[in-house]
Amino acid sequence: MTALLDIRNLTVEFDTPGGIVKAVNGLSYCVEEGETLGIVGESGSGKSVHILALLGLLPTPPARIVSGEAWFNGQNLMTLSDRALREIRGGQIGMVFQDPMSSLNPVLTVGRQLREVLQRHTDLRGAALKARIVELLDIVGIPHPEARLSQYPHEFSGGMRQRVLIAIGMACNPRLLIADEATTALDVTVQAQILDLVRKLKEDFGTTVIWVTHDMGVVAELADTVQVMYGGRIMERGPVRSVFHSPRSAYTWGLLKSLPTEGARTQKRLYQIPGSPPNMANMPAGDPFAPRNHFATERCHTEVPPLRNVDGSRDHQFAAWYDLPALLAREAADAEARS
Amino acid sequence: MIPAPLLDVQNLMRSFGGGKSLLGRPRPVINAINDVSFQVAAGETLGLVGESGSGKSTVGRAVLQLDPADSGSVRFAGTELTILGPQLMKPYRRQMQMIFQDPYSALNPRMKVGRFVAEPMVVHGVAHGSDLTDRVADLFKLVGLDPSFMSRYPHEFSGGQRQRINIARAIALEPAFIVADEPITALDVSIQAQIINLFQDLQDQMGLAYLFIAHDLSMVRYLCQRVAVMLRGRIVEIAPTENIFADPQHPYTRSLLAAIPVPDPDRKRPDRPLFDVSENIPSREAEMIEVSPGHFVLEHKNKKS
Repeated sequence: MTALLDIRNLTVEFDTPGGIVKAVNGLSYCVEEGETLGIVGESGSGKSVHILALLGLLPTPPARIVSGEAWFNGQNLMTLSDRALREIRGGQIGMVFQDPMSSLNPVLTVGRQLREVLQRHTDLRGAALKARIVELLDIVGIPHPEARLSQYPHEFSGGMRQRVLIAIGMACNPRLLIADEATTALDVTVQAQILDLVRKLKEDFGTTVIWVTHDMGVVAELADTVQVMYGGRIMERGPVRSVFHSPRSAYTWGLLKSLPTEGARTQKRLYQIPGSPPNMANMPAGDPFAPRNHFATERCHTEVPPLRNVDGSRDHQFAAWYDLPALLAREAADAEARS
Repeated sequence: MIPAPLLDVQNLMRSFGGGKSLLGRPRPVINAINDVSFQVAAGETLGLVGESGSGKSTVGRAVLQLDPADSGSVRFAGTELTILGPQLMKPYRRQMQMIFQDPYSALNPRMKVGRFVAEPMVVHGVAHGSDLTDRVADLFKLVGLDPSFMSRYPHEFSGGQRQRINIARAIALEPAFIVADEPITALDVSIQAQIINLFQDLQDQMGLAYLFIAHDLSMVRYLCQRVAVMLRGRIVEIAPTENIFADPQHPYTRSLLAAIPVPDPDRKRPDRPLFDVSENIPSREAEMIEVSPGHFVLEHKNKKS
């Protein structure tokens, strides 16, 4: 397999009145051709900032890209001109962001907005162009696409607008589709339809997908690989099954454990991760999750753990100084002894 | 004898629009809530779920008389609220509070959070001076905040802490009933469980009843004793939580359940029944049928054939 996207040592900082905020800290990872990568994180994890940085969409200043390369299809996105990046965005890399109202132009018809993307990035013109626009709206499940071409965004419901954005993101058969919380604002039933749609697009076109979300359920349904981010770093990454069944980072473990399980009864308390996400202007010295982690060792508080492979695994990586499975086994044994 | 419910809502209606626009065109009438009836017992949590635009938030506001209904009855502890004027309503406001989705915009950015929490007690004249300060400190402890934070401003707090501040204000007057409108939706995932546990703890300690408005069905399943499902302004199914999940009757309830993403990569995704809302608007002739004790479904009258 070959990497379609190869991010190396990406570091992004923001200059704020409160000091320098390190939003992304030496981030490196690859996405293989045809892979779906689910990126999970909360506010301050760096998940959205690094996406915007590699697409050249971060306002600089206040943002500053301190270091890093992002190789896509033989080109380093970080050194491309704005003009060259514009050619890639919407063409070879399709994007879908969270807010369907602010991502569409309210004074242009939906058909016009799709046409602009296609005219910029493809040779389609005239009847073939029109046919492709109708086809795209049909693919994303918008009923009566021909009639809706001449309508404006406000005439579409939230779910339908999000579908239009996905149609725009997919318009030029991108090799890479990046979605950042693309279904978060939608109703669960609409989200389910969008996920089905993305799955179908992957099957039909072999599209590589980066799906940024906070929802572990969405990751489990859609992704091949999951990457858990916190404090601008990767805490854990690997095949979805492996990470969900045997998490090595206490943060991943806590996120999974705090989800209400089926059949959980009202009287039992949910497991809760203590504390709050870190203050980005004042990051802890060592492992960013250490202050909230009751498994943390002394070393966790002083030294940042490197991302390393789980013993015997080629693709499951984690960043922690502690051995989570051993600690969990000991806790379970202690609980057994007590009862 | 069965005790009277704390909250008894009957045949609530609320429509928007109507009349004529500036240009003289008739504006369509939208029935935001249409013949909604339900009860909440003291100390109970009723979940209210549905898609955006289903009318669930409108129900919450109508119940609290923040945006009164056009018609229908809201009885709280036996008193009909819809006929009370502002002055007579005031003692009931103490007992019914609301928590909003967005913990950022619910706070006053220029007001120290201690004063924000104290404000309802000042308005209702229940405490002042050092007694007031002590009570605010107690409330901070109760919701898991350090009382020394009282003199800080909202921007110094994270989303989860801000929601705790909103909750402290909501419980300041020791209400019996709280409407929580998507209270965890805007929070980080690692914080959601903390807030849900806080809701549980407060219910255990204070005997609070909740109307928990949500679209996250997995949390509803965890937190609520009963669930009402809304579609286009009507309740289409209401039942004990186990029944809703084990034996959903209405096709819309089934489609909602099938849409929950399951955080288990080994579980096969359920087949998703397609449910077109626009073709399934509950008809005027439909009525609630009790299919098992406490489990009601909206059905057409002459469906039996």
